[in-house]
Amino acid sequence: MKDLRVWAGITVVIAAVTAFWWMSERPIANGAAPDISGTYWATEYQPRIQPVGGGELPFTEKGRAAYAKNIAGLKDGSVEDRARKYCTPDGLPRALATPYPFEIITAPPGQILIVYEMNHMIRRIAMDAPLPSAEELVTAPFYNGHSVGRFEGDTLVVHTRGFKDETFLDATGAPHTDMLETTERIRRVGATELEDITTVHDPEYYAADWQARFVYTQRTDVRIEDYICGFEHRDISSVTRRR
Amino acid sequence: MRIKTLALTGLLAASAVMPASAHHSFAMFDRSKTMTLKGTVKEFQWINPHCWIVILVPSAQGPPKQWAIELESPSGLARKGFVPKSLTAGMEISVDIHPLKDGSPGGSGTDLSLRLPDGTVKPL
Amino acid sequence: MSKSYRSNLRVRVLCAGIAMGVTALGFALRASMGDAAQASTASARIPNFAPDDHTSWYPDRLDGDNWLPAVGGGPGPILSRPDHPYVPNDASDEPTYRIADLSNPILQPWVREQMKRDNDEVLAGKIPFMARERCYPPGMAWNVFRRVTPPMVFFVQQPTFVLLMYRGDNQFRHVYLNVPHSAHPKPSWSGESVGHYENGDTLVVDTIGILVHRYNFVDNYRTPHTDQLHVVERYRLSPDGKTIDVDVHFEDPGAFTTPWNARQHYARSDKGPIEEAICAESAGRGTDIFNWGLTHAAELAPMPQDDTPDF
Repeated sequence: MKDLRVWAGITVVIAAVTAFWWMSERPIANGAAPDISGTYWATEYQPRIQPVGGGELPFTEKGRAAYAKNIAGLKDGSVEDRARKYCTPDGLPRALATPYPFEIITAPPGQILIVYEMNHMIRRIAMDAPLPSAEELVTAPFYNGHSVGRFEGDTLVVHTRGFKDETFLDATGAPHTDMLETTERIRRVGATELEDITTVHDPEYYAADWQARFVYTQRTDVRIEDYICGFEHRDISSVTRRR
Repeated sequence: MRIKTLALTGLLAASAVMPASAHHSFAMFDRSKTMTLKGTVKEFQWINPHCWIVILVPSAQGPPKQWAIELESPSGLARKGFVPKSLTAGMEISVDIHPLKDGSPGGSGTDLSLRLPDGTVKPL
Repeated sequence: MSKSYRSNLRVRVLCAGIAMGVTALGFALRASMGDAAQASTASARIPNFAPDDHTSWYPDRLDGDNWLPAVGGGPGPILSRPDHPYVPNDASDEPTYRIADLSNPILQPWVREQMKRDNDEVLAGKIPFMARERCYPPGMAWNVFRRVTPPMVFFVQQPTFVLLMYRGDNQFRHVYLNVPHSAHPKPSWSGESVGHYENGDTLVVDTIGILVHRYNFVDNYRTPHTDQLHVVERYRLSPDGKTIDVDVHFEDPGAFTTPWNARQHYARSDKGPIEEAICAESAGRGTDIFNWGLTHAAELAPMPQDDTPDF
């Protein structure tokens, strides 16, 4: 009898798990790539980028000197934070820390777009084309770099190269060179959560590759708004500012 | 060494959306005059719609004078072998320009040339 | 095999069967959700403005930054004063600035007065304001821009919205499909746009809630509007998919004596995809050419700038 109760219990659990999974918001159509489209908004903002595992960023001597120069320059005004002052794109990974919503759109065929409310940025991730040549990445750099992507199971993997070197990695002025390379692993991690784990590779300034993790909540009640530099923007008091 | 022609399209001067006016034409430069500036590069701006050289030219009467030289777009300069780091702050160069008609410290370097510290002449 | 053993075995088999059946049903139901979504999109017969990420659209004439008059006449857009024709940059070595023809009867008196002051300033040497040249979004002048090298305008079509993107300065606006307007939309530069498809070839976009601002105009002649502005755009794709006829209807009793209509015509380009192009890239670098000893340079509209960021 006990044996039968165990079997009945197992059956109920399997049925419940299956029902929950079906009702969850993770549509997958006929074995196609996972659907990560939607509007997302972080609930926390950190001006200083936090490497996974904690601690300081693994600066080289050059990197540390560049960081000190940026910190001093931002303080005395000799270095401009153009992303905040003129609303030029933040660059990566700083743009991923945005306290404003953004939207992932999987269209038209061949690309994934990420449109950010902050600074009305458009990132295009080419899904069926290689990166531009090394020469083109140097002569035609983008603030947010040139991105190519592919799906690995449930994860969108995005490689980005060809950055303009006038952005910072975070709001404190963490530096990077024009040889910066980032790799993002973007995937859903719950019914409404999306994570982006970004690996930063810039050997001239960082002695080792390091990661930062960004988490967002999907919002079906939010529409991306206009964003004009210096104008009033949406209320972001719902986003907790961390030190 | 010349860089091969860019395969990317759409990087030509998109002046309809940049700080440029319908009246921005080369008419503001005196194309009948050419002058040579010798000085220290302060900035080499690799931006659309025009790249710029900001150069400090020594002056007999006091501190160096800052000149701004308008060049082609990044893609245009890339076709002539330039990259963003072709000129760096502190470099001593000389550059030929068509000066502004009104005498302000500026001019166009397009279709002229500059000389690098090692003597290399680079067409603009 | 004992009787109780057979009975237990039957129950175990039954439980296993139920578990497998529920699991299979779950897979089947989720797969059919995907099928249904794809089938409904295909069967709706919507025009395809973007078969791939390289398709974009641009005005196929040099003065694409002017509205065209509506087909069939009737109240139409502001154009150039006949004694001061607009000559675009690419048409001539002697381009001209726009001087608005204020004899157009669509203008309310206060609008005519404001635009006459603008005209007079330009005639006296001031560089006229154009939103895209000073890094402002175009607002309802979205569809009038100079024909520079493509790619320019993109349509990104999704089941619940269309995203319109403009390469220049990476401006974009959303059109939410098959939903009504909000009761009280918060005014914004591009307004609140809702839309639907018609006749299998047309996207209709209805916009209200357009912010009134001294730099927000309905064209490049600096024609202003009030908070009553209501704009309906119809984008009709040609049967061969190579051109779009854009018909735009403007209503604003506060600014205009009558509703009026204007047109734009796009040709298709395959020179995509969208790429980063940032107007403010040259902001604040001290090399804005228009500060070079030009008369009235100090009167240029300042480019948007944020001296006290929100975070």
